[in-house]
Amino acid sequence: MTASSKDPSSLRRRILSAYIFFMTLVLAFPLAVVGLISFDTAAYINFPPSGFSLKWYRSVFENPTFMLSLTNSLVVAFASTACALAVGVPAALVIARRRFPGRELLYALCLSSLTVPWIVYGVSLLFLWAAFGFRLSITTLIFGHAVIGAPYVLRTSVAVLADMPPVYERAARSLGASPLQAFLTVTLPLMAVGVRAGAAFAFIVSIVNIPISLFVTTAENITMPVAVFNYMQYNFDPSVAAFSIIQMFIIAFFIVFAVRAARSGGVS
Amino acid sequence: MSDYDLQLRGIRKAYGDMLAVERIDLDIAKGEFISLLGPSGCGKSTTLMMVAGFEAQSAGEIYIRGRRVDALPPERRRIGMMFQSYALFPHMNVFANVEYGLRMRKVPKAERRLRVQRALELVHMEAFGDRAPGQLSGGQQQRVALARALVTEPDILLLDEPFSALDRQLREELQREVRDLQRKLGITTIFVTHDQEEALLMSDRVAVMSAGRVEQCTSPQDLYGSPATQFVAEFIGRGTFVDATVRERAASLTLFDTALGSVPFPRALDAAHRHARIFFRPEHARPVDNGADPGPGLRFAATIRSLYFQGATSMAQMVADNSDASIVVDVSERMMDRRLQEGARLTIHVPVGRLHVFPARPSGLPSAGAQSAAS
Repeated sequence: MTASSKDPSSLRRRILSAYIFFMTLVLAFPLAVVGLISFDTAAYINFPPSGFSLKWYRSVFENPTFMLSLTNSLVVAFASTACALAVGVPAALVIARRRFPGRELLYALCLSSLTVPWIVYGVSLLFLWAAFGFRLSITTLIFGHAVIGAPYVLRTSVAVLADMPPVYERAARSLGASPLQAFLTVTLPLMAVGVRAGAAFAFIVSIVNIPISLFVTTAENITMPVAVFNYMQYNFDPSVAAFSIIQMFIIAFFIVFAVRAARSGGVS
Repeated sequence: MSDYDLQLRGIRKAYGDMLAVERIDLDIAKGEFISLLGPSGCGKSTTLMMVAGFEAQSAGEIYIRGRRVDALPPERRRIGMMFQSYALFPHMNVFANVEYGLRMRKVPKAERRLRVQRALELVHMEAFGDRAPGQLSGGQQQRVALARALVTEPDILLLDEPFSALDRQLREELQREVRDLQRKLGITTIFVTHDQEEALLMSDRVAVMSAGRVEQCTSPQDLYGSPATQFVAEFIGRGTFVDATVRERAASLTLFDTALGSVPFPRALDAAHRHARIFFRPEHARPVDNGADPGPGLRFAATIRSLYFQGATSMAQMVADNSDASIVVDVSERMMDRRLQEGARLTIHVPVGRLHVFPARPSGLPSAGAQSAAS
């Protein structure tokens, strides 16, 4: 025991560090297990692993369904995020800047897909396309993901706009900017933090989504989580673990990229 | 077509049942600096927003340099504007902020550089071009905002309480600078403020507004010296109101009874009025010696309640013998007089030429209204 350990603030710090360490362990442990299993030599998922190999990673790259789902997932995630932005940002401008009766109600309605269970959403989308006579395709999948992504964009954008006085837009207009020019040169750069955060959320909810994809995907437009889900119904080898790790790194890559872009944009 | 840079014709603004601006008619000459002055909610900001195009008027017409603009969006009205919160774009540096209006007007790059440089020199900020607005003090930011508003050479300059966020010394410095620059460039300017001192100091003319109307629009001197309404008298400067009743009426003379004695007034009051309020400024109420005859006017004895020394001027809060009304008297010239102390009784005289008579407002004086109804 050293002298500093008698200091109550030092003790408090130690307790805090221990707590943080424990919570990190709890959060990271399942991931660590998946990581360990992905390098196993055994033909079945089991823990603790019995050896080390990269063969399950090779099998992922040799699995055409996995590779197709990877491309699909990225296409769907990017396209649905773009749609969510195209809908969410203008909606945020209307809700945050205009005053009209029913504004609160409209806002609540726009956010409602955050509260409806996604599986219910998936089923209703399936019925909706059937009623319209649309065939399931990658477009219908993108639409489904855009619908759940847009509220995230809306929410973060409204939050930023609420803190941003409309005087900047007025200053721009008084200096000769049209509404569109004022939006592009002043409002959008100033609300970029919120827009980027919303876009990151929309990207994640799309790329990890199972409940909606399950109902509106077909064999050709299968996504990564659905591929894992399907595979695990008939197989139990560690290639799903390897695929999950790959999937995780892809998501992490794009999120880090988005954060970097936000920083370099000059907005904290 | 006209010599006026800005004309407002019957401007009115209603929000549902609420009238923000009842009716405004104003002609503002080229190069004039005019203030819209009034308490909050009087419609001055709404009026400015309608001139700028951020609010649509419910009725009326707006002309800038003879060009009707009331249906045009703000970006096509050729205005320059300064805001209370500076409103410099935080994601652009000082240079880009000033350049913004020229970029929107598609001015070529070389010319833009030159004009931005000139505008920054005008406000002594040429050394700060690459700074971010957040790195500047409030006064510096407002200078940049002024350069940004002027660089496009707008037809009129609109100032929306641009000094109220600054501390006193900086505010006075900037007021002087804006005024000097405005004179030098000869740019027609509308200035919205609730600060009467600043309005009187800067303006060629001041429009005092109340409840969506212009009460009086004239030079600062006339506004102070000849207030047209009771509201203007109350709002601009200080003074004392005394209730008065008409005792006798002649062709060119009205005799009033007040709590401070009776006074003949060499003007006829509208026959419909039996009650009036008499108003005078502190500097026109003077202590006089008991034997002296300073001529016709209000003469009364009063006791000093409190003395306020304010440097150049000194005020006494007094109470008259037979009235509990509080009277403000300027005693600056007597400050060295040893008799001048709290509790001292003085004879006060206000010459008749310094008295202002306003018909009593029925709403403000319910008891007076009841009296006239009974008689």
